[in-house]
This record gives sequence, C-alpha cells and structure tokens, in this order.
Amino acid sequence: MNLFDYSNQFIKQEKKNISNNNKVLSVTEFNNYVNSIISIQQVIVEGEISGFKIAKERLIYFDLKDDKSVVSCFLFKFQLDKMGVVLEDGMKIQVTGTPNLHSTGRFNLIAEFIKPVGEGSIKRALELLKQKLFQEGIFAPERKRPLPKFPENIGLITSQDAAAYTDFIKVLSHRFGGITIYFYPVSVQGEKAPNEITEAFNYFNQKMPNLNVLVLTRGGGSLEDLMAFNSEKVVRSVFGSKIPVICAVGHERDESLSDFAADKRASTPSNAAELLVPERSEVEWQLNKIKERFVYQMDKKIKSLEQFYQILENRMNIWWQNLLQKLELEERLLKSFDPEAILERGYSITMLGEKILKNATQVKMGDKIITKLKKGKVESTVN
Amino acid sequence: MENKNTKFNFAKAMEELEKINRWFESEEVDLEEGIKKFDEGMKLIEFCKERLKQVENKIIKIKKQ
Repeated sequence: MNLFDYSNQFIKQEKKNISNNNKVLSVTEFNNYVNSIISIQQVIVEGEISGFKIAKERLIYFDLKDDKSVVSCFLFKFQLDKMGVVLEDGMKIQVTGTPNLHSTGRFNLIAEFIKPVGEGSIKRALELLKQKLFQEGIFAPERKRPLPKFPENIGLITSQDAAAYTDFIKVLSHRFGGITIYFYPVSVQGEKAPNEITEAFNYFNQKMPNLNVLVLTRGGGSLEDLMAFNSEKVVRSVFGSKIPVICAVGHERDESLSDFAADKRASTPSNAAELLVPERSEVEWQLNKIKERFVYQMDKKIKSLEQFYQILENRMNIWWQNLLQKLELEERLLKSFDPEAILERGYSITMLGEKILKNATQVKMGDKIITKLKKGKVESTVN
Repeated sequence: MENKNTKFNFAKAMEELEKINRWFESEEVDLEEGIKKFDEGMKLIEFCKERLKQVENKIIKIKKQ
C-alpha cells in the first residue's frame, strides 16, 4: 500500500466517525483536525522548484511541481544554511517534510531536509554552493600553506575498506619510510559521512595539533558517491584546519569542493602520497650531490686560500725589491754629496779658519788660508 | 638505533644541509669555519642516509570514543 492509498483509506474511516457524531466544528477545530490527520508522518516528495523566494531574510517559500500538480513548501533559512544546499528555480529536489494546513488555510509541505536529485540539479546545486564559498574566500590561493617537505607524522582520514586507504599506504611506504600514520577511519559516502569527516578534523586539530599534515582521501565514484566531499560542513572543516590539508578525492577528473578548499589538491590517493614524500632514491641522489658540492667547495676554499697566500707572497717580494732599489738609489745620492768625492775629481776646498771660502772679498791681505786637496793640504798667505 | 632514528628529524637535517650549502657558496674564506661546517655537513648526510634505510611506516588507528 502506498502512501496515497493509505491516506485515502484513513480519511474514509474518519469521515464515517464524524458523520456519526454529527458534531459541528469551528474553523480552527477543523483545521486542527485536518492537521492531526495529515501531519502524522514524514513524507519524501520529489519535484521541481519554482517561485523560490526568501522573505525577510528568514523564511523560504517555493513551489514544488511536477507536470500535473503543485505544492507549496516552506522552511526557515537557517535550516537550509545548515544543510549546505543552495536552491534555485528549475532544480529537481527531494523534500523530506511534513504536510501542514496553516490557520490561514494555506496548505504547505514543511521541509525538514532537502537534497538535489538528478545529475543536472546536483551539479547546479554544487555550482551555487561553490560560488557562495568562493565569495567567502574559502578557495583563495593566498591562504594556501605549503606542505612540509619531509612529513614524519601524518593524519589520515578515509575509510579502511576503501582502495584509497591501501593505495595511499602502499605508495607512501614504497617511497619513504619511518613515518607514523595516525589513521582515523570514517565513512566516505552516505548520510553519516559529513559528520564523521568533520569529527576527524576536530579530533586531529584538538588532540594532535603537531601533526605535519592531514590527508583526506577516497577513491572514485559517482557524483552522488562523492557528495560528502562537497558538503559545506566538510569543506569548512578542511578550510578551518590548523594543520595543512592535502585532499585527494576520486580519479583524475573528479573534483570536489574539499579539493579546492585544501592547501593542496591531489588527483588520486596515490598521487597524494607522491606529493607528500619524495622517493628514497631521489633523496639519496640529492644527498650525494650535496656531498659532492661540499667536497668541491672545501677544495675551492683551500685553493683560494693558497692563491691568497701566493698573491701575498708576490706582493711582499715586489715591495722588498722596491725597498732595496730605493735604498741603493739613496746610497748613491748620498755618496755623490760626499765632499771627498769632489776632491777625487781634482777639485779642492779652500778654507779660512773653519769657513769654506766662496768669495774673494772674504779675505784680506795677510790672511792665512788652507787648501784641501785629495791628498794633504797647502797653507798659503794672501798678498 | 630505531629509537634514535625516530627522534632524529629528517626535515631539520635537510634544512641544515641547505644552510651549510649556502654558507659554502658565499665568498667567505674562513678555512677553520669551513672545516667545521664540512664536518657537520658530512655527519648530517650520514644521518640522513641512515634514516633513508628505514622502510617501514607505522600505522596507528585512532579509536573513536
């Protein structure tokens, strides 16, 4: 029995009851009575949105329709915000809610949960959420942090059964060792997934804030399978993490909003491991290169020091030579000033007492003068 | 040995090596300091190479409350 049949039968029974009692109802009583019948259980209704409007920034009204019928839907804006769903006209959705007849006589489906259905609507809803989060700056490239070069403590958030888990661990261990992986198992799809993933982020950020990096990953799947990674809650957890986050969801082509919010996006779980750690052989090669460079630099330093001393020595030699030359020159000059040297060449010096005679007026008759020759001296009297 | 290696921080060692490398490439000619840096660098390289020999990664599963 489907819901429609069920309601019909229920109403028929009630009809009989009321006729029997012959009771007259006030309008309020009638509306309350109708409500007591129609609001007994939650329904899920699928249809297309039209006439979507937000009143007073608080209340949301829209019609849900199919090709024959229309029903008005109502909910509070905060409820929709909490669901992380953005709606617009033409979108196909499933509304989980309760039928309700308002005292004004208006019939509504009071929505409690809304989810877009069909690929077109899911994609559109995703696009709208993406725009909203983009405007908030959640995907801004300038807030992205660099990943640590050699992480030693990693927080892993994924499902244990998933191939993603195995792939990540395998590729990581293949490349680098000595890493401690703190694994927080979560559901990666289904209704529970967003809450569990958010809890994992809270756990790591509160209890293990010193981890080098967090890895959020799952393997490929349909758009609906990946929806947890597009939920606003998860995206905000990724964005809000104090520990840098690398996100790898699905295959190469798959993109999720969590990818965009993360510090680094990897295309696959294996790629996340590749981006996180270098390969051993690569590091070993690098270390050898560094060693070679050190040896070369040290050699260069010693050589340049030798060169420095060589230059110093040359300079000192030149300086010494210069000094010697200068001394020799000065010696010769001094020698040329030696009066004895003049006598050598046949000149003589004539003196009056202690004074050297330079002018004839210096002497008068009868003065005794002495003439110094190279060898010996001659005493004479002036006439 | 394993304990010592776990405590030893690979990232920091690589950073130190980069620093030493930069020092060597500067134009300073301080042989005494150079020898010190050279020794330090060689030790770090040996540490890192030793660390690379570790093949196992440890997985600790977190139990939810």
